[in-house]
Amino acid sequence: MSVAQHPSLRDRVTLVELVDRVLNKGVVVSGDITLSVADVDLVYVGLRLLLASAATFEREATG
Amino acid sequence: VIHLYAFVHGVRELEAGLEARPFGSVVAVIGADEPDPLRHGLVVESLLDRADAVLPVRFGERFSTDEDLAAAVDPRLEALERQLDHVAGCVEVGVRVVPRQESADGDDGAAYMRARLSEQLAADEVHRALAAQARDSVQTSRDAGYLVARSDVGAFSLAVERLLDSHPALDVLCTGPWAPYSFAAAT
Repeated sequence: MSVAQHPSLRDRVTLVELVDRVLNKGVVVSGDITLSVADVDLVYVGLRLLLASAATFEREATG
Repeated sequence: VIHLYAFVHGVRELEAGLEARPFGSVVAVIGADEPDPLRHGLVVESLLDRADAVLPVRFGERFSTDEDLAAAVDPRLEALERQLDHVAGCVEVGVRVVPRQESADGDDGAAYMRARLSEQLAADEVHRALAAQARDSVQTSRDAGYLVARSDVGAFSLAVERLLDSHPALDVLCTGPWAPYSFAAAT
């Protein structure tokens, strides 16, 4: 559990987990999920952040 | 625009910008702004301290009018009520088995498969032991979510630590407590 001893890494992992949950889990009541607003694709921006964080996590976890 | 964050029971004061919209005993927490996924997640987590039961809504549920919101929620009230009762007083603890990089480096295919298999068997054993201590659980191949009463989170964390001590070959990431996303099914 080296993650627990590395505060900044731990914070980033928490951020990734949080965004992952929000995008993939939870109740859906409308058939139509709006993934972009006013021509700005928020989820796309969010996913790029997520991928960058995950890559950093893997590097630090195995390095 | 109406952005839907969560359904709750027993909600107390909400932070500025959020509104509690009752549908019978089921209360929808909504906001008029358009949050990004991170903000949505932080709002849902903050509700854990402000309500007795929190059923998270997936990011992206937006409605143009009150009528649209009601039309989406009304037919599902029975299912929402049931799910809220199920998660009442509970949070989710996540346990993820992280793959071991070094065991994948060898060029011996059989050894690789044996390593994967023993990793999976150990992960299943950990899951069974933890599931027995949780109100409910869901497991995918490497991820598991446990529904735990708030008052039991300390004891559950200790159980995770003890299991890790007895399975030194597993790399495990334990996260939470979270709002119970894994127990909020699409309806």
